Amino acid sequence: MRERSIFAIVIISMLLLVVGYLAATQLNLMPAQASTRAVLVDQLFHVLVGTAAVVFVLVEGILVYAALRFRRRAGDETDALPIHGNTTLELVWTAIPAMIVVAIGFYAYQVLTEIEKPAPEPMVVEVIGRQFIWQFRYPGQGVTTQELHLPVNRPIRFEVTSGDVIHSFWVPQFRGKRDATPGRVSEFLVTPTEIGTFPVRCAELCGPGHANMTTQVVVESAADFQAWLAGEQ
Amino acid sequence: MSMSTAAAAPGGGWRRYFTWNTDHKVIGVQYLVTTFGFFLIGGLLAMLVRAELAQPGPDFLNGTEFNRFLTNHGSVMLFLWIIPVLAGFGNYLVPLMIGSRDMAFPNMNALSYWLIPPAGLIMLASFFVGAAEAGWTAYAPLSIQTPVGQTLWAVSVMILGTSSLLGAVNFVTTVFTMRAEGMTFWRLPLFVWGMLATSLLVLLATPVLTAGLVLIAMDRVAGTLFFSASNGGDPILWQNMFWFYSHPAVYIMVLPAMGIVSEVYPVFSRKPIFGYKAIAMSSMAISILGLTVWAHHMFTSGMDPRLRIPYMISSMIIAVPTGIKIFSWLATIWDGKIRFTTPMLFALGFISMFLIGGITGIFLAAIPIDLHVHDTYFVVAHLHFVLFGGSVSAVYAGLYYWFPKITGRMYDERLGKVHFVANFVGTNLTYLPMFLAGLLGMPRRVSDYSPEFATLNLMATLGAFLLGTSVLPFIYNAVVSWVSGPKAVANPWRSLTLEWQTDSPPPAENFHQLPVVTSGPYDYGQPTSVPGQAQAVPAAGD
Repeated sequence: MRERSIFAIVIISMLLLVVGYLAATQLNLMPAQASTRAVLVDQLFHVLVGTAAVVFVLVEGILVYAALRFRRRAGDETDALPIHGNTTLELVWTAIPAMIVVAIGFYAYQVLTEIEKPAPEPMVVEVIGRQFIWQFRYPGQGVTTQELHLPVNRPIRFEVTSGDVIHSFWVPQFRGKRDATPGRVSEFLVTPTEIGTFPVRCAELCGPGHANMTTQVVVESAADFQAWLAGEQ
Repeated sequence: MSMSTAAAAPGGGWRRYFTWNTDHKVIGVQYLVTTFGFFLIGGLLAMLVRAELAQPGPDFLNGTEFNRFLTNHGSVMLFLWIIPVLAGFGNYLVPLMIGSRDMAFPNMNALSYWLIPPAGLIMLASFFVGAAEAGWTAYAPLSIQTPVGQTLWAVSVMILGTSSLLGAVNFVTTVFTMRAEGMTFWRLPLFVWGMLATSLLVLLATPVLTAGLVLIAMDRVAGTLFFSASNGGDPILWQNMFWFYSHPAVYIMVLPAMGIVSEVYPVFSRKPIFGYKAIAMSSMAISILGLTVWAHHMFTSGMDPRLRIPYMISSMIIAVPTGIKIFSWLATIWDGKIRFTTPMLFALGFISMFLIGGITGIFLAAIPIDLHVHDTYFVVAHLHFVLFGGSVSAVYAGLYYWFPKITGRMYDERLGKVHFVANFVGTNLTYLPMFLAGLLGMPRRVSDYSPEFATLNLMATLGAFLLGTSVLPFIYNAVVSWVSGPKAVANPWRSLTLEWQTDSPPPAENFHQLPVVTSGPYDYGQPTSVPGQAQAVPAAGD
């Protein structure tokens, strides 16, 4: 009987690892990656998806199995066994999740440090949220626009603030947002890596026009960006 | 016997429920019925929101109306339904479960209830003067600038916080001073432990929200500038004060619910709860840790980057006591003799759906991921899985489980199962698509969205309509069974906790003779455990 239990545990563990691996590598749940931080965030995300899949299948599996296997037989009005606990089991199911969250915490901290590492010479763009538009200022260039243009592969430091209520500056393909708070300038670092046009959406309820407080970010070659900038001046 | 059935019998004693009555059982029913009414109102608001979001493009609500509906949906559901309904269960059950005749402060108990209907009316009346429209989170400065209804909202929430606070004082005093002879702390039912852990949070956190609401009200009506950045104030101050309460609030919304399911699993597995002390201690751990995580709602706020780290750590650590509870519940039903009554079905549904909410909480705790999904539909999905899939499932489990005790009649089991299936399918259909919508780029609290999210939103709306319909079999079942259902015996479930060792419904004095407790509440399977571990020995000084 013990050999059968160990065999079952081994098989189930292997199946769970397969489920986790498949979930981590095959599930495409994020939008396109258009920045350096997106790549790192997605790696963390996929590791969590794999872990979550294992935990989910394991726990739900136990639940469904137990519900089916330990149904009361018709006519049986007696009680089951008076089992109150099992210290070893309880220590294991305390220690293992603790180790998992510690590992995830460390990995997340590592990713965070990496994606927020200041670059030596970023290009600064001021982002001002107002009900219900986005304004982008290129300091030193005398340019203020409502459509964000960025040169590809250049580190950008967004300095985000608001002219009225709290908004939040979000480009899903960049993976990250920063609240636009009046009276405060908040930094947000992005290095765009893909040429293309991506949505900019407000992610903090700011009034009746919140859903329409959208614009776009155009990531283009350095030459195209300079041409556009010159045209705006 | 006839006096006790008349006590809860409709037509006979029903007028008591509309009066100032100090019997905790009457107050408990007042809470349960009143809050359920607000649940339906909050649900109606949700149906309107989901109807607007069924398709992209403006349909029948403009941005202002939409924001008002979503704000009051959240506010009604949290402050007028889930927090007080669990207090209602606490009110009805705690004195019975500990073997006392009532709560420590019966008049204050009645006050706690009677603060709720006026507060609810004030919040709903705000629709006539321009309802609150800044979300249930009411971030300043937006919430300083919105019309008059926002002030009414703040007043309403302050009143409800007071009700909750008074309740917590009552629960703690009752449990500490009025337990029956032999009812040691380690023999308390886990629902009582849940109420204790909850009360700790209510006592410590509610005053901070109240203070914040006073500042909001003063900025709105008295010309103060607490949250005005251009005048030396700080909008972030509101976020800290708000979330210092509102994060523990979500544990206030789930700890009693976990207590309910902890009562249900042993009875319908005929097996003791597995890891009783671990579950009790985990409740306290979640409560205490819950006071240390609030800034995980502020990772994108521009707060000092270094300060975010401790909040990530504490938010992840909370997964450990939560996991202990889930594994202990599974071990309870493992090797049991499971009976799939409606309360048990809802309790099992609780684990499966709360698990999804809990797992996605880890994603949110990881700062790099939160920076992407904060304030998106990922969060909306997460919160509804824990609050609706979790707490509301547990509330239904409790309503069915204690229905015979409270009303003296049995509900219809087949209708209960129909309700369960519709609720389970509806919940998953409504909220699973929202995870994807959030990840792919849909912000929350939007009255309109990019067409790429159309299919996901349509699915969510259809699920929501199914959920809306699913309450109908429950309401029919509850009303008809209460009026004319088959009479229930004192202990139809053969449970070992004290509330089942007295009549259904209990007599006004709860127990004909105060019990003397000689064993724990979940001693199933012992040859000597007899339903009625309470012995008919008159306690000294009774």
